[in-house]
Amino acid sequence: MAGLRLLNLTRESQLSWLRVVILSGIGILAFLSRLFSVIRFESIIHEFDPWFNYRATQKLTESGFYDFWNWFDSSSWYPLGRVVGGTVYPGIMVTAGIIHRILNALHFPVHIREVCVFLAPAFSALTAVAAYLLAGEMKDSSAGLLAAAFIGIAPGYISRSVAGSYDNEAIAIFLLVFVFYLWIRALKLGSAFWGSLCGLFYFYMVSAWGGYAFITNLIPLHVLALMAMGRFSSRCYVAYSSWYALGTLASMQIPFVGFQPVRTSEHMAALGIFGLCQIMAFTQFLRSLLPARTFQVLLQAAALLAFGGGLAALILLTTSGFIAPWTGRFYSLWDTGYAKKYIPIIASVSEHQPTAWPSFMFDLGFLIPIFPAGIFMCFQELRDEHVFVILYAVTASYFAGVMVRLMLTLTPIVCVASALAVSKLLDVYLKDSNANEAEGDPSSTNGDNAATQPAEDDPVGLISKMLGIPRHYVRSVVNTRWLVVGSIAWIMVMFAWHCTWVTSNAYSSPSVVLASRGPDGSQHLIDDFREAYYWLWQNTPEDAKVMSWWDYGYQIAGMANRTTLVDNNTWNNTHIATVGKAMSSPEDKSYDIMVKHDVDYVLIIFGGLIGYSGDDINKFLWMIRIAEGIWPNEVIERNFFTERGEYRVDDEATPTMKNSLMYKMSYYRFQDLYGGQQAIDRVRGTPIQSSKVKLTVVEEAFTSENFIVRIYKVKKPDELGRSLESAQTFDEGKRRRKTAQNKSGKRSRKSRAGSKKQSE
Amino acid sequence: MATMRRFRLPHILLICIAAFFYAAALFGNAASKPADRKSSFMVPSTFTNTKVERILDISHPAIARETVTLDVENTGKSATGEYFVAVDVDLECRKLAWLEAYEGKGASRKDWIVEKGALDASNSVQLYKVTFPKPLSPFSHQSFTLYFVWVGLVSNLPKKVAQGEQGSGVYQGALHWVSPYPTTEEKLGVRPSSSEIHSRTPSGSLTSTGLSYGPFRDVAPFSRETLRVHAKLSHVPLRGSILKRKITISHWTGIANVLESWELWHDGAELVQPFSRTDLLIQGRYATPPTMIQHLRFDLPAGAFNGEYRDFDGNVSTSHFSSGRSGATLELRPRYPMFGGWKYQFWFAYDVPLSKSVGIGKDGRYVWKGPVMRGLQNVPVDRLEVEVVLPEGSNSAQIKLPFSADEKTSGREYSYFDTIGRETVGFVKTRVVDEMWKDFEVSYNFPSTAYFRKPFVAIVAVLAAFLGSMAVLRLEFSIGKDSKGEAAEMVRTVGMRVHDIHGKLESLLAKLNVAFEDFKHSHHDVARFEAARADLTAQIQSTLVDLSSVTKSVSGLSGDDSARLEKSAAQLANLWIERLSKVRQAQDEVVALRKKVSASSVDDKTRRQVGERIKKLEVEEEVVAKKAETLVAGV
Repeated sequence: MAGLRLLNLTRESQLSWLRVVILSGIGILAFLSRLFSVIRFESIIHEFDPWFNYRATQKLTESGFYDFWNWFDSSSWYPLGRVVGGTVYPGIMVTAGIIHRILNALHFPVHIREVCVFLAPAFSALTAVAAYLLAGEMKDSSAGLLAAAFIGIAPGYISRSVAGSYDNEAIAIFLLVFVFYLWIRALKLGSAFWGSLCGLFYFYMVSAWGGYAFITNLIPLHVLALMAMGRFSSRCYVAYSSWYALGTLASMQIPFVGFQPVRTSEHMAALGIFGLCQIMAFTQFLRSLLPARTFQVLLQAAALLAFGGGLAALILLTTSGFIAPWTGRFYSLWDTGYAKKYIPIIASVSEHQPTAWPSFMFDLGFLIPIFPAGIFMCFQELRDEHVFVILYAVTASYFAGVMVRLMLTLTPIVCVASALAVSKLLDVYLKDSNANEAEGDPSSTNGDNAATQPAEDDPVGLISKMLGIPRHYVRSVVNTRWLVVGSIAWIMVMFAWHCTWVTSNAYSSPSVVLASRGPDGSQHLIDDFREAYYWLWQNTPEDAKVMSWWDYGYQIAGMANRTTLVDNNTWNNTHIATVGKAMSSPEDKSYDIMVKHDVDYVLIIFGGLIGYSGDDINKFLWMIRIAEGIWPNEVIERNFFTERGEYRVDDEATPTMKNSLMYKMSYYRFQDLYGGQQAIDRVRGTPIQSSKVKLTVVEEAFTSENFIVRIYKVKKPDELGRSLESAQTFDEGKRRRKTAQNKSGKRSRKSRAGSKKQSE
Repeated sequence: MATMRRFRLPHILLICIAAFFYAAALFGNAASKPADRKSSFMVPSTFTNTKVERILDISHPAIARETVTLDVENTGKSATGEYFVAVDVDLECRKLAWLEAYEGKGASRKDWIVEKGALDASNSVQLYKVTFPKPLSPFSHQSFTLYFVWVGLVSNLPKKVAQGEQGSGVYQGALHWVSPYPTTEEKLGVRPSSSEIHSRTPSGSLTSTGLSYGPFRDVAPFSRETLRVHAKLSHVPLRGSILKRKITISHWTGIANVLESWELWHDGAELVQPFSRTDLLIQGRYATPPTMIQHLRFDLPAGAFNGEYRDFDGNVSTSHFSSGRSGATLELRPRYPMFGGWKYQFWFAYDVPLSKSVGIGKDGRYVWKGPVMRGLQNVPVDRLEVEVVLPEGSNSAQIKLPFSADEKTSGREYSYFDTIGRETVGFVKTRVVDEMWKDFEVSYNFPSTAYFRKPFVAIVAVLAAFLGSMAVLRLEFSIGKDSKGEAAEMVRTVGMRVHDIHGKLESLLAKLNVAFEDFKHSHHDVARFEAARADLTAQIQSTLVDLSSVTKSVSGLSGDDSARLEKSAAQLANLWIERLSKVRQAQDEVVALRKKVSASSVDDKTRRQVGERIKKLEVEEEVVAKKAETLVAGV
């Protein structure tokens, strides 16, 4: 503080200076705490989807914006291809592209990969600032700083924003919080400027993430709640109308969104509230002009009628098909069993599963118990913005319970609400203690006066009496305020500890590279994925088509630069089911499918040797289920289970299982490794079938060091028109004879050479 | 006319000079391109090779080294020093990497000049001209050595091998040394790739070092006979199809960064069956497959540090970098083991301290010196591209090479904090072999002022950022000075301050009442009470001044709200003054009464009257307080 006084700053500037310093400190910390994976592994793109984003960004930086916008990617979804420009949220790629271009224009030749890797941490620093602003609107800047600190390290958000996690959420959470801040600001001031700004950032959000639908529905819900509470005002009208009109028009410029804002049910709430706003405003306007009571009643009836008419029209349009009904993804939010029944693709993704209770504590730590207190405080004050916090908290809590992935949308509001509660607590216990100290000074000067009226029920008095120490000494040591503040501080320290631990242990693995620890604690990297992908890139023809389960589509495109049949975009269920069918059918059937799709290589993931549990045999049931959805007569899930309903891979496995291409490719020549002993699958923990696996339509092309990735080459159709199986048996017979011949031939040649020598 | 005449003489001069240059250019062109003009050049038959000893070393399948020891006699009529060497055209343009001629051995060795000469189309050979140090007079002898390095002369036979098998290679070439001159006696020794020779044509004879042929007598010029040796390989043929080296010199950090990106091919026989990891793991317990490449070892210059090893998919974690006093080594393990026909693209980089590679030349220019390349031994590189990036601010770079390059390149590049960019110089050379790993030099001017460019730019950039933000913060961007939102915000905050001030006034008044109660019931000390009252009254007055000053901040704003607020604040101040005066009056009554009581007795009537007056004042005060309360609530 002495330094500040030296700078000759007023108290106000001192405070704002402090705020800037603390906030930038939080931002830097938020950035740094996400770098574990870079330090431990390397600067690399993580997981699956980010690989596509990275590839698209490369395309953007290499061939410019318009080529990217009109990009038809013929190397994915072979033979259909994919119109990338029209089926992608381009926000994150454009953001990275712009940053890259600016840096290069300033002669900072940073590789685009580095921009992509560090984008998420950089934006999480911005998210902290946005959370500061939002919480500042709810209470004051001290709550804002707390909220910024919380969101900077909350694992629920870190899980999607570590360095290398180059996914839409990396920038979308910042945009989500910032749009909400702008909305609150617009609503408070009733300003069209802030409303328009909100609309513009809403557009940015729409361009970045499909989760924009949350904003599209939450803001109308807020307005509806305000109307129901009788708080509809001109401020509300201006803010909502400017946001909706601008934001919707802008969002329709994204090709992937297009006319959805006026054609799908997800967006109808916003449109309806927009209409309702107009009616309400009109009614208020007329009421101010016409005081007649009867007329008012009439007017209200008319307004109600208009609203009802609009609703009826909406229902009519929906049923007649002009407006698309709710999508399956939306239904699965209300009925958690829906996806499993009707859209197995959605259900097959682990992040779409309902959240387990411990993960709330894991991802949010002590914020989870404190956050209801913040909500309670919002109820106490209940200004317009507090209504928003309550609505956000309630809806997001529900969604987070339904889907693990939506924990992400809950995190910001948990941080804001807990910051409100903690800052209130600190306000009470820190501010009062200051006041008391000021009063305490004179009382200690004439301490006799204070001592004349000792209060026995006071704990301080009791302790001073028991120990025989003067009262003010005891007071300076034992103080309820400091107890409370101290314990809060301790809890926060533990929270930071917990967050760091979770980040470092749970969320900082790139999943492209696996790390294992040796018995001496040394780190051993398992780099099988990149080994196999790079082999594909370097040593297969450039136009080779690779068939794999859709999980690996983006990685193959990104790290092996080869054409894939299906990928993580999952837009075409039938195509995915085709791959599922090829994997789960017997060889001859699969071969037909593969030949029809020009497949050259088949790539599978097999963890049986080193115990990597995320392998294809474990995902196999989903392939079967998805295929069964399209061909219920050809692929039957029941046939893969034993009579007792077990999913087995050993001798007891059903013939359908043993004959499926996936099973065969996984265990091909696996026994040989065990040198005649019983081969054990370390993932399933069971021995595998004892008879040898025979492959006829594909041949092994490459297997990675730890057998995690196995690549098979699809054989060409037999030249004589035989089935490949009969051709192979024929060849084997011939070869046996040939090798016998060869041996004798060699011998004879040798003897001939010998005789020659002799003759020389 | 006069003006024309005046300029006639310079005109003529100019034309003369232009004509002179034109002629010079013509002749110059003609002189520098003899090969183009004389496409079917015939070698004058001035020499006879009296003795030719040829040793062909094909122990490494990728590189063949041929040493030809010659003894020649001038059979012409005049002294000449131009000896022609013939190389088959198709070999020359695709396989020949290096050719040198020298005399003597070891310390007394003297290198001669070898120049590319004419093309002899009738014999389909490319000629090279070896110039003797002094012309050879007729009938005298001269002995010297020619050294050829070829790439890719050995091809795989069979084309495919099993995973655990060693491949074999076949060499097919000339049995007699191709020469434009007649040869009296010729011998040939072959060092095959291994002692396990499958076949050889002609058969020759086996020696301890390999095969030997000849001596052949009186071989005619350009006589061609085929030699074919098929033997098991003992080394794996590797080849770099492209090697790009980029050397970035930075005087600021005192470091030269070297980046080498390779495209490496395994040129051995392909696998019969595709690669089987299972077989590898099973065999690996006994022996690694002989054709498999699992490690690459690069020797780096002494003092190298900061090694890194990457490919398109990122860092390759399985490398080992070690640095010692004599030199550093980088042992790389490719992502996958390499087999015949496989390709692997990767790059690695390291830093070398400038103190080891940069010096100052005689002319005061900086000179960087380093090897053209350092690669894997016996691995030829098809195309070598070297680029040296000089520090920013340096100029007039010159490059000095140990051999003639195919192409020289130059350009400009931008790196961190650069403003004018860095000059780059470089060259391209096809077919580079171990024999060519020599040092080359780049000299450049680097003025000492260039050192200060970067800090200067950084300072200016930061300063500009500060000044810019200052300017932006001081500018007014709103349309119209007081937008409604700001005014409303202002009114709200001021309203809240008014609330606060009202609360403070209440508490001050409460304190006054407490002091009064104290006076009334306990100490009855008028002077003490008056002192307390004066203090509190002063505080109340100053608070009221605060109130007016707070409301002043909205007085400039337009709008109903602010006007209303200003009015209410003024009213509030008045009400408080009124209320305070009522309280004081009531207290004065009590004080006066107390004085009277202490002076003389007071009758009940006076007491009652005083009591009534006080009650009235209290009621009035109550009314004023209510008014103030409602006023504040409305703010």
